[in-house]
Amino acid sequence: MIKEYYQPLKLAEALTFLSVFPGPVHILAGGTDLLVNMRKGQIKPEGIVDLSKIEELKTISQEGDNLSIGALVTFSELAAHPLVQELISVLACGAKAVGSPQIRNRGTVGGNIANASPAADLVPVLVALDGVAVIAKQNGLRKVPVAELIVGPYKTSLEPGEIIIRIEVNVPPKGTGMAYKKVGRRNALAISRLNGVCLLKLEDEIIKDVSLIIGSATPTPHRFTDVEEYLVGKNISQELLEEAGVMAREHVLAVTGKRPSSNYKLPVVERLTVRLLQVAWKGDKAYA
Amino acid sequence: MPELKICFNLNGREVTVMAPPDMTLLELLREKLDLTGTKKGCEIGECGACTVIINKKAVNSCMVLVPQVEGTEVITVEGLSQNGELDSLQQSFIKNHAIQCGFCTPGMLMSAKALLMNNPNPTKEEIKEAISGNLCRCTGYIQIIKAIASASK
Repeated sequence: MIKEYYQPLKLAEALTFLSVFPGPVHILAGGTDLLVNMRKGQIKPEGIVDLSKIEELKTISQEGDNLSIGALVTFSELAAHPLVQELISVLACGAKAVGSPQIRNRGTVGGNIANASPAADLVPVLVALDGVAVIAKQNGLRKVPVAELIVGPYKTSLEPGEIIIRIEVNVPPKGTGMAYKKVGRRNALAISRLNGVCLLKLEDEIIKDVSLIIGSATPTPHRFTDVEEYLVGKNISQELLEEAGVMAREHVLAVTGKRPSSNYKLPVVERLTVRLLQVAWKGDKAYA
Repeated sequence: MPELKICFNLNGREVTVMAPPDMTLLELLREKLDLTGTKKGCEIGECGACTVIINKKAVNSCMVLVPQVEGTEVITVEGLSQNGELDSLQQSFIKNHAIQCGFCTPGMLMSAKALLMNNPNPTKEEIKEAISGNLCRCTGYIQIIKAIASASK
């Protein structure tokens, strides 16, 4: 039974409410996860703080080498934003992979992180970009890498009274190749069976920098640093990418152990890795 | 908790309603306002039958709590016709046989309407994308896509 529904217009008001309300409070942003869980009876909030009217959390801006994305920015807004399309197109790809148009019009970037689903579509992109969540509570701010904020399936290290207010991601250097793919039962409304993101910076065919994540394959999204370290400094070639595919497969197996789905998932992890690297290398035409 | 007073624009008219804060927009429309054109399907945001337009965007009304519509403009399928005349999109659905059982139709119409409000001349791919969150289990999508395309011309 809801005892209190609070709809502040300012972040400060939301933080004050959270600091004084005694019962379990749920934060409502886009509602696309919370309302499903409430309907299933899995969540019975006593208090709801509805952030949807707080305009200061809905902006996207460039600050030096960073792009700052308000936590209440919806997936549709993120995908359509000129700065995103120009600077980090892979963010738009991740945002477009979410649910359906209706879900993308409601669901938010901050919510995707706070819900911490292992199958989140956008979170792997944020992690690949070394995204940092800026978290507010009544007496200050803290910054935590998105990869550390998510500590397990549907678990974050957010404490009561805290709200994710924005995410800061690095703008990749010019000429960075980017790729995002989602593997699901169909294009729309599918929960990711697997997804993946790759950022690749080459200099004269030598791999200078690479960020690789296969998402929905492990309990929490994280960069596959073993694969990345193997690739950096090497001459790019199809053979090298095939090796990376095998390594990614072994990485997932090492994290999750053998599971009933492994026979199906692991070969796809391998091919998805190769494909992501190829698209980041040669563009979409690599698989046209 | 007592009911909250919510003011918003519904199909071109300002309305004020009293509703419990955990009521969804879908429930409000169907149970309190007798606007049963908006259909109740899965109630978890997967079927699109409850699609309405809020501030020119298609959304699942089952995924919106009533207090969230405060100050917004909401259009339901009942708001499409003007002065007793069906909207050109509705006429196109009839002309192109884009209706069979009719259950998905209001949601399809609202997703299509939101598309045309923002993009009057969509490509076939854009039409498919716009209705990708709406399930139809009988007509098939081809007539629906055709109906939307011909309404946009």
